[in-house]
Amino acid sequence: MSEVLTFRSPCAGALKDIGVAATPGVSVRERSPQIATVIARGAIADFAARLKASFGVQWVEGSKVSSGGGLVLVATGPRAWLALRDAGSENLATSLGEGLGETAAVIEQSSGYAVLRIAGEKARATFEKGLGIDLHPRAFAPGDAASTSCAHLNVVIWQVDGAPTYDVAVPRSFAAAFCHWLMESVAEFGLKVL
Amino acid sequence: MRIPCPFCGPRDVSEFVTLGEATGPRPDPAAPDAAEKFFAYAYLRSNPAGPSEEHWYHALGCRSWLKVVRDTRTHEIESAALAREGAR
Ligand SMILES: [Zn+2]
Repeated sequence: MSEVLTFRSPCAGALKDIGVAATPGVSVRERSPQIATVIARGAIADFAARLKASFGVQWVEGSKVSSGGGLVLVATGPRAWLALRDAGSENLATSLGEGLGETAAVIEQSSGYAVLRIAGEKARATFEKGLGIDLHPRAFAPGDAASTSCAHLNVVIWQVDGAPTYDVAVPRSFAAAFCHWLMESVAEFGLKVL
Repeated sequence: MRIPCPFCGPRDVSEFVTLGEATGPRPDPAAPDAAEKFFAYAYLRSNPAGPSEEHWYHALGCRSWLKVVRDTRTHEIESAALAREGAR
């Protein structure tokens, strides 16, 4: 007997508007990008050159985001990245595998993570309740990324802009617990689910 | 206690797993003096009162092994570097 699998959000039913304020302190939107893990093989300079040549993305060293043309690589280790690109006709892992060739190993991860875009003037104050890293603008700015834990849950977080807007990737099976933490922590500021 | 991970920056010790003193590589099990070498490798520690070279794993961060010099009397960290540059 065959069964058709349909996509179901890992955050289904876990996020709700909080408060009636016209301007809630925080907004959240679940993104559904294609995701792949990228691990460099061999010299990092060769990897960076292929990334530039194939995708026009300038590699940024350190715990940073490298991006261009809709492709985002979030550093998760000295030689590892989480790559994201909004769903399109072309499979991300396939195109990364072809574009990076022998310079990297690429693993499809699209169903492995929930990705939430959390923004608003109280977004920083919200994350300060769960993260152990310094989120002050002088320590964590747009383009900065961190692999860390939020309320004991593994997360990869990177800052998108100065609103501030953050993207956070949570392993899929922990998404409901993360949403629970978010709902509790954001309650005093108000939340709008976009 | 915070450990300044060379990749991630300063992080709380709760993100790390300690392996203990950074002794040499695992001995060759085929060597004639393997028993002696493995005894030292598994049990003998210098346990200094002062700077101690240790291996720590950044489990909840970049998942790199670090070589950390920690003062066992004060927990002051003198240095932290990737155990093998570029290795995970
Ligand atoms: Zn680290």
